[in-house]
Amino acid sequence: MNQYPVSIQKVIKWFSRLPGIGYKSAERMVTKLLEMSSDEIDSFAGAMIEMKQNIRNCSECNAISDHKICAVCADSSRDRTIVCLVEQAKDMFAIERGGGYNGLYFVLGGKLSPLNGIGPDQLAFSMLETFIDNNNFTEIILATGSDVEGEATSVYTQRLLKSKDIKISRIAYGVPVGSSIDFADEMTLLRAIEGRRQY
Amino acid sequence: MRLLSLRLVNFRNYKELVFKPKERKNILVGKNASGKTNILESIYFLSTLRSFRTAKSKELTAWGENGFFISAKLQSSGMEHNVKIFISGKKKVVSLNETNIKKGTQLLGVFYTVIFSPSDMDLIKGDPGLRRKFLDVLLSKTSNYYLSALQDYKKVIKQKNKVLKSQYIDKKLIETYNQQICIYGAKIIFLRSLAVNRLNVTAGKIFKNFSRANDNLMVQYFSLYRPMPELNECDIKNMVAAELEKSFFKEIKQKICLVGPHRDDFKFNINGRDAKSFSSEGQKRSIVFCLRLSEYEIVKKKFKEPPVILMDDVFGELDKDKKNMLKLVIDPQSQVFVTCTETDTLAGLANGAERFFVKDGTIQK
Repeated sequence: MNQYPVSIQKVIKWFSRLPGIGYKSAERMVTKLLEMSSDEIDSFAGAMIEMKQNIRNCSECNAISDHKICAVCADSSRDRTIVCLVEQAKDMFAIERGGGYNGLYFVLGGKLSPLNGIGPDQLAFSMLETFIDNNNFTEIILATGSDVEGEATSVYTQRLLKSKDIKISRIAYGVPVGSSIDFADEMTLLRAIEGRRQY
Repeated sequence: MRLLSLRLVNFRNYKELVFKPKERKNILVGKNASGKTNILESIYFLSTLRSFRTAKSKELTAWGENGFFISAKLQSSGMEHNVKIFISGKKKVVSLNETNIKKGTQLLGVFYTVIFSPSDMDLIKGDPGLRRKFLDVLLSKTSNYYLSALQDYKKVIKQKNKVLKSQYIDKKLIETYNQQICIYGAKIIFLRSLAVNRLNVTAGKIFKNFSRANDNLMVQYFSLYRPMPELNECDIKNMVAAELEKSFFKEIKQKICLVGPHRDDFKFNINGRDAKSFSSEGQKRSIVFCLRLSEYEIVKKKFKEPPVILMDDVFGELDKDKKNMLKLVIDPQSQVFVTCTETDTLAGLANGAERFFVKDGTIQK
């Protein structure tokens, strides 16, 4: 059986380590890369190196940023009385895309799962406490996931911040906006009914 | 619910088998180790995607083969369904009506089997885990809500056990998991107590018919190390919370979760006395029969049609009166599969039944 030259196999292997990419997709990407000019390849590789060198965590909210302080924390027009706790920076960008939230964020860096070696010490809880002590927040919204680990992370945060003078709220769960009831699965609907509010 | 046809490839001792059962009673006759139970096992597998004998798919695969295949035509809610299952090592492909399905819960309500097997005696004699499993299977096969609470609960227990076993114990983290145990645990205990009540109503009635001496059968549910009365979910939640608080340091000392429905048990009482220690073998056998029959009744009520009954070699152990009694309590509407070594041991139950002879990996009429 004849295989690709080793240098190509290597790149295919790297690509297939990315989420959502299997061998076939990686193979297609590599074929495309081979067609590119050396200049293009240089700037592609350069972009990746530059990204890795410049991106760091915001010293305030732990989000990813290319400056010491991220764009949200640096923005003086944001509401500084409310903070939203998320697991990952990508959750923050997801909420930002909605555009309706104007407060600050705090990125925890994951969710509690001792089974996978992630305890409170592996997440940015102490940084969160400092962040809250240094600001005048009146409310924190816990926007971790709705799975068991995300739920545990929220409960833990609530216990951690209980003694502080801050309102703690949890995001609602239920039927996706713009979808009809019968499209939601039964567990989502149950959650929606449990979390109903007065009209 | 009915099995219309079954095809097995490389399943246990069957290289290739096509079996078209009858609508009502089917008797599989054959010598020991001829493969009668394997047929029942494959039918059970269709309803649960599990075996009642083993957790290892390798044991289900014919010797020297890589995987096995089960396909069946089923009938339920007035419709025909095609189910295909292919399992090879860790790979599992299940399709319902030519559409691949990811979760076993998508098969819910399509096909349900109630199995009577000699190992049912362990429900009385064995450890509490087996009794919990009986309830868990019954509840999760009839309610997605229970299944998802149970799965979440098991995850929380695993996480908490991991924390309890670590060197430095974060008390806030334990409290976090305790709070979740209250929520999921209360749901589970609540639904289990309702199920035990339903069992009490049906099993008690059946047992009175079954035992000639007007005996009373009571199933008693034990949770949090005490008999659990019928409470609402909120009260149960408070009880679990109180118990967790009481055992907080004990759990840390013993490095394991001690409080919650994963420690539940239930007991069978005949006329107020614990069946495990006080009843005869014959009475114990009658109890497990009644339990299975009430599982049948509960499932029938839930899905509004009779599930399929599988009886694995249970007749050698019953006396003639009980066999005749069984003929009366078994729903004539249901499809039944019975295995036995000789047909004459079946007494009245064999009336109107179709006999199939199982020999060396084949089935003949």
